[in-house]
This record gives sequence, C-alpha cells and structure tokens, in this order.
Amino acid sequence: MFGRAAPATGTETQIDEKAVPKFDSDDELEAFLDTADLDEYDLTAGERANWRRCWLRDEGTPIGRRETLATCGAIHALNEVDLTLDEGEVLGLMGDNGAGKSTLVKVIFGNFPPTLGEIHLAGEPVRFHRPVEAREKGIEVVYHDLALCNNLSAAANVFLGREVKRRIGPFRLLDHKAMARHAGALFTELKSETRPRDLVRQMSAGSGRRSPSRARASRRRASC
Amino acid sequence: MASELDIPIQQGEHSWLAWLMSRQAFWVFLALVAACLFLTFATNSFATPSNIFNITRNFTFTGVIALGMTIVIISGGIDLSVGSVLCLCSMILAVVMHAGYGIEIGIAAAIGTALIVGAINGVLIAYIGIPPFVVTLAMLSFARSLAMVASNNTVVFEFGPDQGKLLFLGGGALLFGISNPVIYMIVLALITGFTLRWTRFGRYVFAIGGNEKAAILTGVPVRRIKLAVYMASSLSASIAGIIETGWLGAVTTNLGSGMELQVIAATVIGGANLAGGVGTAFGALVGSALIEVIRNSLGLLGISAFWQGAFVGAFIIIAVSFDYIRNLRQAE
Repeated sequence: MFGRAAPATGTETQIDEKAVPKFDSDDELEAFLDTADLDEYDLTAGERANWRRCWLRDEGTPIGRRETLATCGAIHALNEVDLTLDEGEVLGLMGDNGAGKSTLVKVIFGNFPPTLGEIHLAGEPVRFHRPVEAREKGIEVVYHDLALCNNLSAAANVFLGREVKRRIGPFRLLDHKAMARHAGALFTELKSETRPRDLVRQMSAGSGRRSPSRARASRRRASC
Repeated sequence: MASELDIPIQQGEHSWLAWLMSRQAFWVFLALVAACLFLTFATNSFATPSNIFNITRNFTFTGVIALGMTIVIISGGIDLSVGSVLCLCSMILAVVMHAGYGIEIGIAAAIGTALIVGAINGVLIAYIGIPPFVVTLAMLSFARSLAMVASNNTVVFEFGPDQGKLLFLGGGALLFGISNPVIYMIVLALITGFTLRWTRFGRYVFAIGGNEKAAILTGVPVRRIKLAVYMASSLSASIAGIIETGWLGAVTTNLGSGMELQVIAATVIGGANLAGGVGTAFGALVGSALIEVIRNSLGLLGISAFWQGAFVGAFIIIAVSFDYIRNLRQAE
C-alpha cells in the first residue's frame, strides 16, 4: 500500500500512485505521521520502527525523508539505508558477508536504481540507470575484483570506455601514444611500477594489477 | 616516468624478435613458408604460375569469411551460420540478376540480405541473450532453407545482362595477373586489421572478449558492439559468396556447405582463441592459406585426398598447442 515495490525486480520503482497520499508541506506530513493508524498499513516490523523515514519524496512535494531500499528477487538486499557523505569525507563501510555493502555501492554507482527512495548529489536528486551516467556526474568506483581485461594493456584498461582519439582526415583513431603517456603519468602519481604497455595478463597479481583499476578511477577528465 | 623508461626497458627485455616469436600466427606462417619451400623442391608443379594462381584464389573464399569470423571469435562468440549465409546471399544475387537486374542491384540485394541475417543473429545474441552457438546453429538451418526456397532448389547459371561483369569480378585478374578475389581479400584484411588495432570499435571487441563484465561496468556499449560484430561476420560471408559465384559461374543450394567449420579451423590455426580476446587479421589469412596449401599439396605429392582432413585436424592441434605449451612454461 505504501510504496513498496511489488514483486521485486530491482529495476523500476513501482509505486501505487493512488495509494500514496501526498502532502503540501512538511507540517502536514508530520501531522499525518503523528496521527496515522499503523494497523491500516501493511507494514513490516522494520517499517513500523522506521515509520517516519519510510515515506517517499516526490518532486516539489515533501512527503518524506531519504531512504534507499534495494531488492533483488525476493530477498531485500538493502533496507532503509540513510547515508550522508560530506565533501572531502572518507567513510569506511564495514559489514559481514552478505550485509549488502557491494549492493549499496552498485546502487550508488548506477548499476541498478533503488527500488524505493532517492539519491541526492549536492542537493539535487539524481537517478542513474547505467554506470556511465554516474560517471558523468563524477562518481567513480574501483571494484574489488578489479574489473580488468586480461588481454589488454594497462593503459588500455585505464582508458576503457573513454579512449583518447586523434583525427587523421575523416577518421578518428586511437591515440596509443597519448594514452600510454597519460597512463604512465597516473601510475607514477600512484607510485606504482606498472608499465602502461604491459598486458594485464602478464602482471603478477596484487599491487601490479590494482594500479590500472585505481588509475582508471582517479583519471581526471582534463585533456591529455 | 614509467612510460619514458618503458620503451628502453622493453627493448632490453623483449626485442621485437622475441615479440614475434611469441605469436602463434608467426609460427604458423613459418610452417606455411616451410611447406611451400618443401613443395617447390619435392614437386615440379607447385611453384608454377598457374598453381600459385589457383592456390591464392582458392583460399580467398575461406580467408574473407575468416576475417569476419576472427572478429566474432575475438569478441568471445562464434558464428556457425556463415556457410549458409554464403549460400543464401549467392542465391539472392543469382536470382536477382537472373531476373534481369543489373549487377549493382544484385550485389546490393545480397549484401542487404547478409546485414539483415547478421542483425537477427546479433539481436538474439546481444539483446535477448541466447548463446551464440545456439542462435547461429539455428540460422545455419534457416538460411540454407531460405536459399532453397529462393531458387526452388535449382542451379542458377544464367545471370542476365550483367553476367560478364560478375564473372570478371570473381574470375578475372586485373592487376599483374593476380586473381581479383585475392585483391579483395587483401584489402579486406587490411581494413579488418586496421579496425582491430586503431579504432575504438576494435578495442571494445577485444575488451568484450577479454572480460565482458568489466566492459559493461566501464561503460562499453557491449550490446551494440556485439550486434555489429555478427553483422560484420554475415557481411564477410556475403562478400565471399558474391566472388565465389563470380568465379564458379553458377550457384547450387549446397554451396558453402560445411564451410563454417573450415573457416573456424582457419581462424584457430591462425591464432584466434575460442575463449575470446585474442586474434589477428593476418592470422586469419595465414590459417586459411595453410589449409589450402595442404589441400593442394596432397594432390601434387600423389597422396590420397582422403588424408586431407587428417592433416587439417593435426594442424589445428599443433597450432593451438603452441599457446598452451607456452603458458605451461610461464606457469612454471
């Protein structure tokens, strides 16, 4: 009844528009939350405990607070997450296996949108459908399995998805030299011994392989 | 800076010769050269202009398709439908020209058919998610059946007003006595090699074959690239079909039957890894050439033609073992 996504697909939020009342101001919302009869609503224990925090925010009409609920299949991977990061803040997220850390990161990075709730970046609500959209807004991720292509060089991996090109006549070709040079600069900055033209397949596991992933995440979008 | 020291270090540790020797295509090329040298001395008919002309022309059909197949294999897929697509496109060309249309219309129709077939393969594989083996296996049956329908299962050997142009396209020799198909094959090989190395599309194909999940996560448009890859494969089959029709002068409904396996053998011998992520245009040509030289030489040496398959099979294993032995050594 109150905005939980129906048979959880983890993709689009399905909200029963008629069932969710809307309010014109925070005061009205508060009045509703104070006086509503919880038994009327089909709530879980967690939702009861976090009643106030479980309402959606609609555009321009404040009806609730931030919350993220991501469901994968019948299992709720994340439930009522309320996370705020300030500029320059470094946050360590710790939890058991299966706690939902990776899922949260994937939701933030745009691999799939939250079933309920929103993400706000610098005060504006954002909604990502693909990782590319998150990257355009400046969110970068280094995955714990590194997400590298073994058959490509370190420089190729750093620039995967955003290759540097140069024009020759009507053609736009890969600028291998510029990419190797820029990647080399990034590796030096990270104090790594990785050589840009080495194939990832031939690197030893460990620090050698981590550098391309970290360099990819730290790459500025300035011209080379 | 790592990249400044990069090149001198590489030259010290790995000279270009060492790089060359680490490539499977190089060894297969050496084997090819050795075989040709041996045959030049062992027989007196191998090194004649007419035999060389025949060999080079004969392996172009496999070679052109092997170029498209190499791209598919690099991306981690496979295309079993190329033989049937060759037949279908040849049949469309034949039927259109037989009906009186010009060669340009015929070629456009054949290529258009190939692009549609490739798009169907690509959509089913990339967007619906059915495995490439299954999709192209189905298309193998489907396309050949359509070819039979298009011709009512007859042989087409009359190509209307532009017949002469078609026969010259496939059977003529414009430059220095080099067979025309050889020219097309070389041009297509240069285009393919260039695309794989110097374009963003080429790099994405390698990335998808190397680690598809990583490619998706880093924003590579994986599905679009896969669609393009299967269209390219079908396109190469149609080009091979057009020139083979020009050379043969007739189209039958069993044209290209079984060719897909020969093409896959050629690409694998040439260094493409069926697991994806590795392959070259040069390797595709070398693999095709080697298979053709085997076929040609058995006849010249007086060995029964039935041994051809045994040699091709043995060469596949030997060529691929090269990579495995090298990896074993590295692991130790």
